[in-house]
Amino acid sequence: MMDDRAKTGITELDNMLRGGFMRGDAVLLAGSAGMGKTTLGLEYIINGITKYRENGLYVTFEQLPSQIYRDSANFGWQLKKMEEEDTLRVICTSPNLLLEASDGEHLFDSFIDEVHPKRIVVDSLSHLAMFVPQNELRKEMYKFVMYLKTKHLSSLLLWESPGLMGQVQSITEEGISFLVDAILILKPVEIESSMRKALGILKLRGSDHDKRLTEYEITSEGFKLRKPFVEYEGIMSGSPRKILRVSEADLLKSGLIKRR
Amino acid sequence: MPKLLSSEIKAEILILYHMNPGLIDTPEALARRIGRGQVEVTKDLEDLLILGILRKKPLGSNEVVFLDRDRDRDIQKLLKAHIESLGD
Repeated sequence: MMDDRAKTGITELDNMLRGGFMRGDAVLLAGSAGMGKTTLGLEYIINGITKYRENGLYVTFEQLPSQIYRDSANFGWQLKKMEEEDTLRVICTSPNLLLEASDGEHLFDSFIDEVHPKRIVVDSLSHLAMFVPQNELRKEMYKFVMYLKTKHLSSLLLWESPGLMGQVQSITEEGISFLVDAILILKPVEIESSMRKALGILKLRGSDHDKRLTEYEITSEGFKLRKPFVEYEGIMSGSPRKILRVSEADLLKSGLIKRR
Repeated sequence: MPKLLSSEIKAEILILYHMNPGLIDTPEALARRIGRGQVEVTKDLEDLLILGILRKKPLGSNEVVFLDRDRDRDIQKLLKAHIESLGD
């Protein structure tokens, strides 16, 4: 029997998710440029193929597959080989075609027939949003998400947040957050004049999850989660402050409080 | 073989698809991707469709063009043999 979780294959992230994403769910991965959305998306697909025998589709609107093959090879991921083995398809297209395809045959149908995927990454949903009038965005996104669910695909939908620091606003502004089952954010954090990266789970429908913002890095092997930012508050606002932890003994010693 | 190698644009389209076998797009978008005008691309695209390396299908109000991976493998073998024969 298939596990009810679609594991990312990144142990620490799966622990934060209490085992992985819920199978068949639509997950939004939001973050500004350079935060590693594509890397995490690729790792989700590659781990699916290599660790869990779940084939995948990677859909790109902006980057050509040749760039993705080259960048993936730097992490040791041989996407072309996976394509030859019919476990993966890297699809490059224009975003408007996904919407055109809503009637009758969908653009992805032939690729689904070829590799029978269980996972899909769309890089990125914000490109798709550029082709849809604001008042129709939610309806079109709903149709697209429902198509993916009908095909039993566990999807990771990347979303480019324009703001570098502070809140990841655009997800909620567009009303997309209600359409997806889970939301992960990747955001830069400035601490003591150095740029660090934080991952947080904003929403995971139907499951408990780790609520802490956790530091991560993009290494030569891919996405690596470090420790939660437990010593800081205000990270989401873009103005982190170190939490002062003072023991009672310290306060007594300093004379700030008196022994009762 | 002469039809396959008869123009620069054809070569550009072939290279684009060979390097990006998962590319599926409209002729207009393809022209943009190789930095050419749609009119100049259309004729050469038709030749490649006739040769069967590329295929097209309707999608909503558009037509999309994509690579026939099996045919591409055959063509690569032909090209390899052709290049080797030039060295003889």
